[in-house]
Amino acid sequence: MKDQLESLRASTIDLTEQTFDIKALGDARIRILGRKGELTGILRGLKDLPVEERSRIGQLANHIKIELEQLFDAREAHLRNEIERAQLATESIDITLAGRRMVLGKSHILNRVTRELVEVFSGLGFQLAEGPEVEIDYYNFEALNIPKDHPARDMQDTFYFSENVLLRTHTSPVQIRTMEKRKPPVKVICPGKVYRRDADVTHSPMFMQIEGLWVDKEVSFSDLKGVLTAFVREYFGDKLDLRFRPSFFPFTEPSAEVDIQCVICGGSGCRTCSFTGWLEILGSGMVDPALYKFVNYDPEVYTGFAFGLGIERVAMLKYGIPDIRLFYENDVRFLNQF
Amino acid sequence: MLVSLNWLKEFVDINITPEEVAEVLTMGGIEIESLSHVGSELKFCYTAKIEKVYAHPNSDKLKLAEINIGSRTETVICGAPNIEEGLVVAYAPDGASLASGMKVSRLTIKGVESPGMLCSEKELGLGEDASGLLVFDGDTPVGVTLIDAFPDIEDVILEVSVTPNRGDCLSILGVAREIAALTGTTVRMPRLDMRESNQDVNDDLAIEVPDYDLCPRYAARIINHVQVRPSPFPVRLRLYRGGVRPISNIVDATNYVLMECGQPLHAFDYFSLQGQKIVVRRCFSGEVFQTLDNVERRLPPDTLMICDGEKSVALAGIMGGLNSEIVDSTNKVVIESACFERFGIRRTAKSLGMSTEASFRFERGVDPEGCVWAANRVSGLIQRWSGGDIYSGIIDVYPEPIRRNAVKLRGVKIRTTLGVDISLHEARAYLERLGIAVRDIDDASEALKCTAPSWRWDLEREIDYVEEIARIHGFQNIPATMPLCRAEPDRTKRDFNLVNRVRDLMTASGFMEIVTMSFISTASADSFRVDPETEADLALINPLTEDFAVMRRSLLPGVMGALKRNLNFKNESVRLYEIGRTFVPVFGSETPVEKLKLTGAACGSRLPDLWHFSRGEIDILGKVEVRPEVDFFDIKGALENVLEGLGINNVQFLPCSRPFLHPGKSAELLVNGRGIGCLGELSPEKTREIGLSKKVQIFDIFLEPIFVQSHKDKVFRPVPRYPFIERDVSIIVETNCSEDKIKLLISRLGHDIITSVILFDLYRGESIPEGHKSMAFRIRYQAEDRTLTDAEVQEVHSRVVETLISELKATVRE
Repeated sequence: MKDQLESLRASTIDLTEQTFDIKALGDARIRILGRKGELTGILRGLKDLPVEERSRIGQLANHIKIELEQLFDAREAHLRNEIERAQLATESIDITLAGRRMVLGKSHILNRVTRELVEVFSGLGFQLAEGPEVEIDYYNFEALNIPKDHPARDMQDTFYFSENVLLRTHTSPVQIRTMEKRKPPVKVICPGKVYRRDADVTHSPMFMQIEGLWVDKEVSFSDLKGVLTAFVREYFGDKLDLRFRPSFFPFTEPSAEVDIQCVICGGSGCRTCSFTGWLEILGSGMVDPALYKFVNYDPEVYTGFAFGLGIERVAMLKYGIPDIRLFYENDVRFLNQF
Repeated sequence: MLVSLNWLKEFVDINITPEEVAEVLTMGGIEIESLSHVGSELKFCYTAKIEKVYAHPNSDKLKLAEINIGSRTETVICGAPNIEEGLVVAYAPDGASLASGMKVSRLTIKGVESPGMLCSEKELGLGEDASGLLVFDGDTPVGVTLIDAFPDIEDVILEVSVTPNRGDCLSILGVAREIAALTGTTVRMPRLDMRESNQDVNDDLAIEVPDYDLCPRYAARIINHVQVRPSPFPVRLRLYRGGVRPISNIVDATNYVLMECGQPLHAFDYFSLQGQKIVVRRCFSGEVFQTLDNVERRLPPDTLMICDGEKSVALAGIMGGLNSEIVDSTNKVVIESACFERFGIRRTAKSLGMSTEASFRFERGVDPEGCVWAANRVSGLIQRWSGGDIYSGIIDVYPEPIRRNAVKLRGVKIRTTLGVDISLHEARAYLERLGIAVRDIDDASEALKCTAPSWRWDLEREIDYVEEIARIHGFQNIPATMPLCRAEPDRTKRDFNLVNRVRDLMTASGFMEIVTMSFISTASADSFRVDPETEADLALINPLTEDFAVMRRSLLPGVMGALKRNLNFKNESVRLYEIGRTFVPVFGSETPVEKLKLTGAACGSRLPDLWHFSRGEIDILGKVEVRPEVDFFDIKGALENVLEGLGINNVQFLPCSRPFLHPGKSAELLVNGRGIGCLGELSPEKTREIGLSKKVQIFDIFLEPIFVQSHKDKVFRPVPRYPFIERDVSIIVETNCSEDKIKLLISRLGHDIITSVILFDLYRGESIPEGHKSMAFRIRYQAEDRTLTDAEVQEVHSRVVETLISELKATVRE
């Protein structure tokens, strides 16, 4: 009987290995291990054996039964796996087909740059201030130390509505409006649209500026250098060099033009920087004490700095845009690039 | 301003390269915009003397010239009209290059070979005249290179940009002074070289300056027996390189000295002056004067005129008169060297729309102490270049000499402004390099007393001297530090952040942001008015073009312009929006009200032209649309997204009437019961008027009222803990029955257990009676405090159905 059992075991192992169909495997399991199966058939002769042999054979039969059950389980799992794998192989899709998406809009590149600049300056402690685009002479010129009949007015060709009312030529009037309203410390940036009578590749009659003003006790030119250096490094790149050179603005003294190392050639000289290695990016300086008279600040107590930059200029440099007019033509093929 | 480096070197020693000069000046605040090396290409051209001229055997127009170039003679072909035996001219032999970059080569013309060519100044790049040969003075050495004969030909030209406060730098002398100050050397003035005759200037001329408030100083000299002719070549070359056109020796001399020291000068023909006198006074009211550019000008009040005994002869400080200009026959001249008041010249030049080399400098301030030197210098040059007798003496009317005030400069001011420790000793040294007179103040105040030199008009206050110290010290030598500040709450960016939030929401709805001009044409403004009677525009006095004539009251014209432009580029589907200010004039106020608007337009297909959507959508009429076009509900949805994104709940859409919108497909948007704008389909008439061929959906709303609402805080509502039950009801109602009305009706019956009503199907067409539509609603029942039973829900739902039937005469579909 032991031989019978061993031979059933061996033949079953062979059988499972050669069965590839789940149903056939199930049938075989019932035929061999079922209640009326072959194993049961063999064990039917058990009762004729002597007692001591009976328990030995019984034990053996049990082990073989467990072993064969596990064998069937394993084979079944294996076959199911095979089937699933075959199934998956038929279901593959073309993953290079375009994703299903709705149209995505974009915000205007100039507004995006403005937002980035506001974020950088916010991080440096600046608050925000805005002012009207239609200004009066007083805020746009007079209180900024640009009296009538002064050649400095030639620096900006102005659009007028009347002798006294005009489109602001810079965001600087917001400086005066802010100082009128608040006592120091004042630290604000003022983004906005400004207007000058000028139109060519680098001039648009409407354009955008961002202005900064910091007035407090003991604010010095070295602080101006520190803040603008921090800004340039943060926005244009860590390693970028910059230089401050004397210039003239009626509302700052000393005044400084700020050049950054050319972002295109890295300072070695190219067409963008007219082979100087430098790009003019900012106008800045210490707030002229004359302005404090207009806003009732004591120039003996407070000092401060101011700076302004053109948003278009920043965007043109950062993205290599050659013509300022592209910003206002609103061609989707342009707007979509950023 | 174009500045010759050779000329500069006559005024100051320069021991650094031209590039270093440019760097030093730029970093000192005198920006050098460009630097060009000129003339070195002419090193293979020679001076040559024309020995003989004879006819070309085969040409009437061409001549042959036998020229002496020192070591040998050559015969060249020449077509210039001014060719003449004995002239010294420029010869470019085979292999030489000219200004244009052209290389001269041996050439055979009509059977005669020419080994090179004789050149005009234009060909050599030494002038503008191309009409004939450049002719040198007879004493020019023959057979040497042009550069050996005239070393000035090889030069470096600096393009200098001078800021409006530094009128003193608008000359060779001025730039030389800056170089000297920045490099620590000194300037030297050219030697005055003038022989005066016995004739006293006062014998022939008297000067009266009644309006000396506009003319602090007026000096004059007389030169007799001058001969008007072209200036010597080196003089013409300097003028040309400086961007000034040579005219004649007399006029050139005045321009030469102007360029040299910045003092504008004028030469009058003496015999055109009546009464042997010059009167400097204001013009007559309504006076008309003809300037030497041949233009008759009506003079504004307070225009300062130079007059003789009878008439006006010059527009002071701006331009001479046609009636007294130097002509070829002039042989006695009066030289004017004056200092006119800056703002007076500025006002006149501005109101006449004129800007000349003279007015540009007077406006920015010339050196009042330089007048006499300049008059002497120019007289000497005229004598050298034209001959003539300089009358002895100078008339100099200077009733109230201009004095510079002494200004106290405190060490503490230097330190606090610049943030760097510069000792008074250092400061003094810097200032003295600039010609500033510095004295110690004998008290304990640690300060200096500074007096500006006569040529500096911009040093009036302590801060002006601080700036000079910073400049000479070098901005690069001031450290970079960070300001200290006290922490502060920041509430200033709320609206800025909200605008950006709107941008993000519009972007998510597929809209592209545009920025259009704030000024528009009157015609385009007209096309989107609601009431032309009351909607006045704010108009510019001096618009750039008629397209930019008035400030926009609405963003719609700009948005429609951009839409049309993009459609013209064959963009099938365009969605645009703009956030910007509108400008509405206010009665009784100088300035308009500026309000922020969100405006947009959309047209074309709703979905991207992609494979996923190619099977189409079923529309309200039950048809399958393969490429559905955007309609009212697309823009409504976009706006709803914006409003929800900003936390606005109380929103209504009511029928509206706008002349430019489709009356049945447009709505007024209300937030908290207040109208804030409109949306809808552009009326067919307006669509045609604008020239569009597609249906366009637009919206136009004010942002500030939304921002005000958005600032309100939101209140938490508990998340439901008990399950919901949903029931659908499908009804047929009349077409004009609105969704809002039905939803309201349903919600009202809900006893707080209806938490949402959604229209999930809407259909018109086959199987629905004419004038009716089928609407299917999904109603969600849910309680906050318990699980609802089927029976409970059924009871309310049955009541809902009954009410719909009775109130709306609806038929329930099974």
